[in-house]
Amino acid sequence: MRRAAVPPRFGNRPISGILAIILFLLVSAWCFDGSGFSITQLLGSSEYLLRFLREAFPPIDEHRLTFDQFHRYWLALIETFQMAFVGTLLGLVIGFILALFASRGLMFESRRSNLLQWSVKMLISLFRTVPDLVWAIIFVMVVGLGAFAGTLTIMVDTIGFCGRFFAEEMEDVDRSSAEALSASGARRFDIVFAAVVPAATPGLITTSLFAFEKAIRSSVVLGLVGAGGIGLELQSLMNWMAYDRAMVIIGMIFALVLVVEQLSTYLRKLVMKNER
Amino acid sequence: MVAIVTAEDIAMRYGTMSILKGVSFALEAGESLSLIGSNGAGKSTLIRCLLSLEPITAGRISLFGREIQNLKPSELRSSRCRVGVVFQEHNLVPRLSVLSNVVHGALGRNTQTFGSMISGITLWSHIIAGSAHRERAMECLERVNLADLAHRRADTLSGGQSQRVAIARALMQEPDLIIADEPAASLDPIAGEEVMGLFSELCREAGVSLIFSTHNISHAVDFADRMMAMKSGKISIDCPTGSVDLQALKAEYA
Repeated sequence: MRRAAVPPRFGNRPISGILAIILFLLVSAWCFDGSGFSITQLLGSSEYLLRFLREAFPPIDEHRLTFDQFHRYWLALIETFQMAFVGTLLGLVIGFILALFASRGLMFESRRSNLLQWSVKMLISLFRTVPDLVWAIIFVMVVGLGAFAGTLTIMVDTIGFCGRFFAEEMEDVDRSSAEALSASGARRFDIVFAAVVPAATPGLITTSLFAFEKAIRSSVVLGLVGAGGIGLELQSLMNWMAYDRAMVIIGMIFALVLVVEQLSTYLRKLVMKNER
Repeated sequence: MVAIVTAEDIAMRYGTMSILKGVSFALEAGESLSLIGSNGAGKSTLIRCLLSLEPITAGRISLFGREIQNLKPSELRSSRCRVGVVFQEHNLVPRLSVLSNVVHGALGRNTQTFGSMISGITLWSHIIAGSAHRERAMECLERVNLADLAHRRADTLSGGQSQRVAIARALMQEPDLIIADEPAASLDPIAGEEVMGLFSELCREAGVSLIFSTHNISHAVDFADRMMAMKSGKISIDCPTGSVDLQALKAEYA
């Protein structure tokens, strides 16, 4: 009855595909070997984990948490938020300006400008690829311990993140309305702000919100290298093995990150609701 | 009469493909010209070359008595700002209001002096535009009968409304010439008829010259004084629309 033959299982699969799968398996095995990943070791150390948890809960047991201390943690948390906010804001502004020059065929279009575009792209990549902790260490060295170093770190990190994605969003915009304005004799600078930026606005806003979320998360860690904020408090408590109070701080960080993420998700939805 | 557009033996190649092969014509002030021809005949390319959106590979194009090849960017802008442009679709900035889109028409007029660099910034949106520009934009919208939609976002308009806004933006330029590339092609027949009628009426009123391309032969005949037909990169017919044999044309081009 049936005319069509059942195709062979591996019939038309190219040999290169099979080789790629084998290669992937080999690389995975090699990396597992090097990473020291061990289930037995993880289970064997449950004793330490249990000790941490026993001492951490209830969070305010042995080392009585006074109001003064809680107040200090609260201020550190606020400082973390402020660092993240200002750092993101400055990073957005500078990142946007750099993105204008990093975006292909946006501000200029000539052979000479390709070099400029390439160099700005490289600068943005440099900001993005060097990890934030490394920037934090550098800035602590330059401007000393404290919130300012953290703010600068977040700024640089945000420039790297937004510079890239802003540029891509402005490249992806439908350029036909820009072309219409260009044909009517408008300057490139005006076209960018009259046609390209308005069309890219939803993307720019969502990217900015993502950048802020990212900044909140990384600002928590920056304290570990002395760049201000609540991370510093967390680190010293962990060093003193005051796990119960450390747990309070972890809880506060969790709450802050959660609130910021929820808020940013809500705002993103609000922005996208108006778009088709 | 003075010729405001002259094309002398222009050719345009795209890689090894020859798209325009020796096109010559002249358009006089106040004249309206329609371009017909099947897909790939070179209508759009000719229009894009006239707007210097594509470079020509041979020949000469002059707008308002000035050759447009090898112009400095500022000179190119000053000749472009006298030409209103309407494309088939996607003319407007989608997320801005209708009024802002019309105000943009003044951007080209605003690049001639250094001081105007600053005032150009005020034309990015109607919110920051000067009241003279806002009022002129409203006048232009009234002329296309869309004054009541001034605050609507451009991406909420229908196709016909969008084209009328694009026409209003072209009027905002106070152009001497309007060039339109298949302005009615993505519209339904009634809206297309309306838009074409608006074009020819406005051009006749203000003495503006018009070049438009179309696939609709009755539009080409009804809304222009003169018609050119293109065939594989060359002009095959160039005649006043009054003397056209409609049946023969339809047989060949529709």
